[in-house]
Amino acid sequence: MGIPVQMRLELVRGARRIMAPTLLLALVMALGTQLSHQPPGGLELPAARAREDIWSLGLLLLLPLACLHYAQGARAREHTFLTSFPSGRSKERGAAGFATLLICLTTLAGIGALAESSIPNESALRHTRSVDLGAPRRIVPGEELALVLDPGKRSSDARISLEVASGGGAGPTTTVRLELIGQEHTQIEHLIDGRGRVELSIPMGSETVQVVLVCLGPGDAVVPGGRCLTLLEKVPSVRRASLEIGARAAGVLALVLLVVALVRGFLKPGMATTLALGLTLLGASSHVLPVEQLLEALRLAAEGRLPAAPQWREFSALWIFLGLLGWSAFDLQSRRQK
Amino acid sequence: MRAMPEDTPLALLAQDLTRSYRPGLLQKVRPALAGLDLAVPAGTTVALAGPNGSGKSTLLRLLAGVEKPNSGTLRVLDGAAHEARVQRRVSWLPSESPFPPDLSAFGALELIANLFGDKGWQQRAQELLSRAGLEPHATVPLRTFSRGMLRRLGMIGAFLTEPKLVLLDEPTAGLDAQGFDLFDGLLAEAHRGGTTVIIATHLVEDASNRADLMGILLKGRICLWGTPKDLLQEGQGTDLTIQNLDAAQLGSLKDWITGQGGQWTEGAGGNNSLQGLYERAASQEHRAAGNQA
Repeated sequence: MGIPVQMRLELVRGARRIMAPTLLLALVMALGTQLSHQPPGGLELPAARAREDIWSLGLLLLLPLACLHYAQGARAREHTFLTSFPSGRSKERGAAGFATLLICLTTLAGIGALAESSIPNESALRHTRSVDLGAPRRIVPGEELALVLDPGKRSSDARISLEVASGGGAGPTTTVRLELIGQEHTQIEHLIDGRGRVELSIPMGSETVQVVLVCLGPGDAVVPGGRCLTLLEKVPSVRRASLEIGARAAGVLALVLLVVALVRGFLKPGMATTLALGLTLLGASSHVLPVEQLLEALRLAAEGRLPAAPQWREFSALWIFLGLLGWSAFDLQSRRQK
Repeated sequence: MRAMPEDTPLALLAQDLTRSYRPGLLQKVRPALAGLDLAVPAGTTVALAGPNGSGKSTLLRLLAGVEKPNSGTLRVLDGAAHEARVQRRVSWLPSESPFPPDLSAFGALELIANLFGDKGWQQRAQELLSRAGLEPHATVPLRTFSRGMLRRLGMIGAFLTEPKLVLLDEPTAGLDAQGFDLFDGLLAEAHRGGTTVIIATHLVEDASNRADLMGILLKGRICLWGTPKDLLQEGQGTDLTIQNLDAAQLGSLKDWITGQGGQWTEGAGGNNSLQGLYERAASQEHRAAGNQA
């Protein structure tokens, strides 16, 4: 049995309205990256930024186009015609939803391939977990701050990354030294201008580690508190960044399509799109929604890092959306059997 | 045309049906149907005629289950119009081509068959495409089709799955002679198969030559109802051309004619046209409103 004509139609439309413009933009960005390729040495950061740029611009185009496409299907003259058929509304919703999702997933794979095409694959560090350091603390030059940290179980390549800010005092910048107590030659000095991160290798295992942060001046150093300490672990391939951004983007996409699915019956396409994107942005700070994780993944991609691996709950919108589409299919199947 | 026995079951029954729309957010609600009553025996072909905005298309949309009435009773094939078991036996052709322009003619028929859950549609689709003269264009995107070709496609699509009730909104608009032949052939088959056909039209030929029953809609109500022959003959009279009389003399003449039980119609060239029927329906409506007042 072939693909139903409705799905074929929606796939062709989706390819034209969503995939073509988005991949064209990503292709232009990827070509631009290749043309501005510099000789080896210090390439890591520009390459990582190119990955982030291609993903960011690709998603900025893909999200509204996908919303608009899915919302438009419901308002066309043909939709009214489809509703004159038994369970025509369910069939239309199911076919349009599945096709839009499929086209978007293919487009995400295309963006990922283009983002990785001109960038060397290397090992990378993953932000596996954050440690809460409580209230902010200020250190004046010459003073030190001893910290007992519990970064949890880690491998031999693990590092800690401590966020430090220069906090005024005798100068706008400051130099800090981070030392691992009990381990000789395990220390690092770093100039902080505004806000920065100091990273230090730590031994493998699961026991707590003791570190000392020394402020060398001229300005004061401030440990901002909260989850400002991160455990980093090595992963063999930085290409996972694109894979995980793509997965998270699929979660966000499902969220906006879910909102559109709920309002497309009575709102015009532009309104439905604006509402869906607006609600998604408003919910960016929610831990349940995958928006914050996606933004974090994009930010870290620019630094050649990976965020913590995606969790199942980040894809709750995707499961709900697939459930809605599945329900449409079940609904029409059960009616057909009557 | 066939005489209908009195005990023929009804294909549809509408009682005091109302439907209104709000054209814009800040605009007043406009009634499209205002207390419409209609009873159509199964197996008949009915023509619904009326000027633009009289409620013909709205009525067909309600019958197709695309919209719901604001109030009143509507039974279609012994069920509610929007029920799946009813919609499975009803076919609706809107006034504008409803098919996605990216589809081919064959794809459009496949779409209809899929939506009806009809498995063995290919052979009948081929046959209908051939009858409609669309076989050479069966795989061409519909965006290249003329209006007449789209109408022919819509028509064969409406009869593809052999429904029990067919709703056709302006089916003959843009049709050529071949299209009319196709239309007549499909209607004849529908008659033989006991299918009820409702045609919303502006063309008197559609009504007088093809329909068993005819209704004239004005302002969302059926004002005249009967066989086309009766309706078109009932109001026939003698056209007089009167010249060189002033308004007072014309008034006296009008009073005398109406006093004798005649009907005075100014400006129209007789009642054997839809325009004449509209005017007669309007005057009856006006008289009924006057009597009520």
